[in-house]
Amino acid sequence: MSKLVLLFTFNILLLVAPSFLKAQETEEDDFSQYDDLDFADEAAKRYATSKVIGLSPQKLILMGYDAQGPYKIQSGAVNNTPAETMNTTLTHGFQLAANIPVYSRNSLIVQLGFNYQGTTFASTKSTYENDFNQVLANATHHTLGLNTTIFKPFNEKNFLIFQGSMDLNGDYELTKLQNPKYLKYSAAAIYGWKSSDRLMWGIGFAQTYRAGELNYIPIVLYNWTHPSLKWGAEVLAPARAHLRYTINPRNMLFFGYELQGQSYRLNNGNNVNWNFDNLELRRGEIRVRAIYERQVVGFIWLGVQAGYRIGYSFNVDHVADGKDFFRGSFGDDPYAFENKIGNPLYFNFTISLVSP
Amino acid sequence: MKNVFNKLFALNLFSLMLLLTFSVSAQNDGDALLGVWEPSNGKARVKIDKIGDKYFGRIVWLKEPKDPNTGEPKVDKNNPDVSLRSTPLRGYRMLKDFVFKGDGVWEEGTIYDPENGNNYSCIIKLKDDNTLDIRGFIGIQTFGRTDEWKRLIIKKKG
Amino acid sequence: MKTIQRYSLLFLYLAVLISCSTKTDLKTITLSNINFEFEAPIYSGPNSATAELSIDLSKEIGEGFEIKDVKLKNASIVTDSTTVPADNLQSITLQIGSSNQPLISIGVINPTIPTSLNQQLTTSNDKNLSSYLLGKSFYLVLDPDFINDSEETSIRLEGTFEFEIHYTNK
Repeated sequence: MSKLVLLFTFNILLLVAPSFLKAQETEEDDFSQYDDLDFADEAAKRYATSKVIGLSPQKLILMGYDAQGPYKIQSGAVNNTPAETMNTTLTHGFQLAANIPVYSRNSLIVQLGFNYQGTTFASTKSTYENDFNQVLANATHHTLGLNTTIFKPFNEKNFLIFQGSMDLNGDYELTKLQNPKYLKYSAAAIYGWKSSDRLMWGIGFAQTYRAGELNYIPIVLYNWTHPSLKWGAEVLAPARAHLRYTINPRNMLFFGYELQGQSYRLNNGNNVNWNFDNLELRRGEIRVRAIYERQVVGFIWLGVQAGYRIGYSFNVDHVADGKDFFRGSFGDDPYAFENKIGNPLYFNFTISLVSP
Repeated sequence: MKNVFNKLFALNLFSLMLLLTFSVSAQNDGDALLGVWEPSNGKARVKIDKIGDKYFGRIVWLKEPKDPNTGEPKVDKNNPDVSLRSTPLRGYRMLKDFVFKGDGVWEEGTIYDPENGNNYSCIIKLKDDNTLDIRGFIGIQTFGRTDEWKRLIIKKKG
Repeated sequence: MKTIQRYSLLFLYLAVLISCSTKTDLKTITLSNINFEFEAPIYSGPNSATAELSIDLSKEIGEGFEIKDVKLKNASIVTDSTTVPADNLQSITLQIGSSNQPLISIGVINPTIPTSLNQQLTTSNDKNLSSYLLGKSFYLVLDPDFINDSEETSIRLEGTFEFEIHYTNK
């Protein structure tokens, strides 16, 4: 009889055990207790994050198209060919970029990126007397690059940012890249302070090709959002600076400028028979612009830019065997030849996948 | 008859012990997520608990509990659904619908960012007893970002 | 001109034909006296209680119909003046979930009306709840935010929820 009772009891327990073991409903909380907590791991620290409130979303993947209106290129005499003016009709090309966080911890973030930019100089003629104009008309200029950004916070206030990139720039065919010895290296290091959730700033130094040729410059980082969350500034000077107006977190307007540029190896295809081996076009430009970015659906964002492209530099240098040199503001090394470039209106359109 | 009875008795006892063992261990592993956690930005504290078999995280503390523009407790003003924009952020379930998959991994959930009103797919991994890797992503995990959350406990006195 | 008139008439005819062939019917289902129990200790701040529910839609609207969408039309929460003074409430949030559907917010009132025992929530108009109601069961999660701690051993809030169901013939 006792065994029968035990058997009966065990069966009841078997039936009801799952409901006993099912998770409890939410217990009620004394919310005031959450003011006074500490890390369970005594060694844990708080670190500054890499963003401020209200910053425009980071683009994980970007595809775009850039187009400049008509302008004149007044090319200097070169290779026993006379000076000549080229009337461009459209200077345009596609761009593609990716920036993926490959390592992400509170104490270190590492991103790896890739970028491509193409530029074709369409003009009124297909043949030119001036060899430089002919080289421009012959082939598209490509930039293929790899880059990395490292964000290293030391504590809640102080951080270090390092950016490095290498770019292959020239009028080579994409199926036949130019020699890697012509890679251009850029780098920047910034030491910064995160004063609050709405302000981070820093100072640093950079090796850059943004003005078209090798340069060493001081840089300033300043990311700020007004308490209203409507206005802000996103600055990495002198490379770029923008004032931001947030219509809402899915619609933003920017007003400002960006300095862009690279050094491009010319005549990779040897289509023009000139007696130079290593000429590089030092292309630098300042884009004064307005940008509108908006969420299309989910994490797909659209960006539209319009502005004025000011040609900062369009001269050509001898760069022997890819070994670049620093001219700076006070250097007097002569250019192989000098050119003047007009300043057109431009338009840029991008579709991006933005980061959480 | 007695033999049959004894065998049945033994089988029931064994089944109950087996059920209890697996149920308790399954409950404990998944429940390692329970507790109060702090995201890396330190702006909020999130308490993770359970409704049914799923895990949810509620905001229980905000570094800046009031909106500086209105002076009122912060609300979900960036919610894409206009009718829900008055929902208070304190108490808001920003982590939802996580299912324990074993091996310190919780999947099938979402994480909500009140700063922009976006919901992201999310996976949680228990890095150690006091550290979570919370990865919000879009579509595939490659297109995402990992944030490290640290467990919080009541401050030790003295 | 005659061609435009002919095409306009054709378009109008097609529009009427299409709209008549996909006629949508509407049924309102009200779930009343849904209790949300809060056991002591009841602290100030957001508290949470769950009610598990199920609706047999085939019983409500019959067989041979296809549910187009389900919306929460109205949600009201009644408090007991003795255990929950109306001025002790700050806000109420309502969510719906089920074992195979995500938990989503469907109603809120913030701030609550301090002089009223009946709080009418603003309901979400853009969420189709058919997957929840068509399932075996679903649960409603009520998160009232109390201003002060309560000495009560238990508190009950009672909800009334009105669902609008749009359906068509299969």
